Amino acid sequence: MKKIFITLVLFFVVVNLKAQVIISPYVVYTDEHNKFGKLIVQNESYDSYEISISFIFGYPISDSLGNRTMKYIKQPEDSLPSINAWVKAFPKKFVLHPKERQTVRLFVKPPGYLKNGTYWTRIVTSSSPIIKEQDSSGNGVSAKLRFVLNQVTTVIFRKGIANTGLNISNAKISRDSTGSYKLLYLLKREGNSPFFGNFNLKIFNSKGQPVKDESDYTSVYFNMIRSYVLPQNIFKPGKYKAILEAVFNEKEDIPQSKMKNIPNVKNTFEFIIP
Amino acid sequence: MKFKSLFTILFLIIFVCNVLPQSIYIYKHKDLNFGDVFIGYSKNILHFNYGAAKFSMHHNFLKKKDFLITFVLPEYLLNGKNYLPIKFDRQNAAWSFRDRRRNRRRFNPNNPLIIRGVKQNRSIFIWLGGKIYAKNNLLPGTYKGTIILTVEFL
Repeated sequence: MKKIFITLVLFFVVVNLKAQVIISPYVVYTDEHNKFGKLIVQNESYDSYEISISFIFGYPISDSLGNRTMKYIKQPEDSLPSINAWVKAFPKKFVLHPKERQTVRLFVKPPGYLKNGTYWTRIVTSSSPIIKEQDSSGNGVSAKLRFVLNQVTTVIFRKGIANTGLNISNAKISRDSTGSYKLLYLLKREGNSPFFGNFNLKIFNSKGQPVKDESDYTSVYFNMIRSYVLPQNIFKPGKYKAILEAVFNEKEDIPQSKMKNIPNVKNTFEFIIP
Repeated sequence: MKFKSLFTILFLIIFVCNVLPQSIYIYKHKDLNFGDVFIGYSKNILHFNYGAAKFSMHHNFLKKKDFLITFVLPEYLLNGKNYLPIKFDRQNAAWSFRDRRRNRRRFNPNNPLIIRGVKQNRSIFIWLGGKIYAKNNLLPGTYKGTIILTVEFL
């Protein structure tokens, strides 16, 4: 019992030490009835930080091999579900002294012609410590590098009835440059909103024994390819069965979500490693 | 009995004081420090050298998350109108789930780094060095630049 308490105490102390500027929540939710959102920026360090807030529209994309990255668009077209042009933050720039926190109000002013659905943009919170200048170069050269830390979170705006769905298809395996195989799935988003959920992959060998059990939380904003690496040391030549299940779980990121739950989506795929 | 109660109170105090929001937690442990460089010489700070910058980060969401980590790196450091070239490559950057020199994974900091399936409260450590060359005709002084580190979930 004593050991558990000591471990827990140490755990919380250690976790708390590892924070300088903390931003919460990860997703700021707004809708037709509540166009105001708030973002809390906390300075947990003993230095003062200069903070600035900006917005950029973006979403995750993938190539044909399932390699993912973020696509950012500085001036999104009207056809994209961006709220970049009609979201404002107050204040946008401020100084946070040690152990201080600041609430940043977000106000969304959508145009009248919007269709039902989910619209979003990314919030970039930049922080850099305020340091007193010191010149210590003497007769030589000295290099001073200032670090600016950007943390990217999301603000969403929901209009009318929002719905989402997912279609998992085109399962196949592909060999990469290291000789390992990759399992690829095409994820097609349905409805008028992104799909936020848990993806659980289970792979069984020909004897029905589990060889891979992986679970993570993924956001599907638009269609994308999802890849899973099948390491050579585990996946010897033979027959396998993969079951990928997507479980809608928007509340993990957006506790205020009012979107209706949807049935789990499952894909079963049998393949052979030659 | 008294000992148990004391621990319970201590635990509750610490727990209440540490109700942390679900977020990404980033910590800069060390700046990138080249120290003084003699004119006519170069200095290459590798990821395991003392002068390398060090960061750590973790998240506290229940499910595993994929991190996308991007550096915007300067090509030059400036001192008025004078400039000092700076370079970064795979020798200069590495990451690991453990705070140790062994088994670090090197990466090119000029490209985005994706770390998949990071569990709740599992720390990622990143080290970043760089290379500068102070040419013979360079004026003495302090040369400054900015590195932008962007961290987000993918």
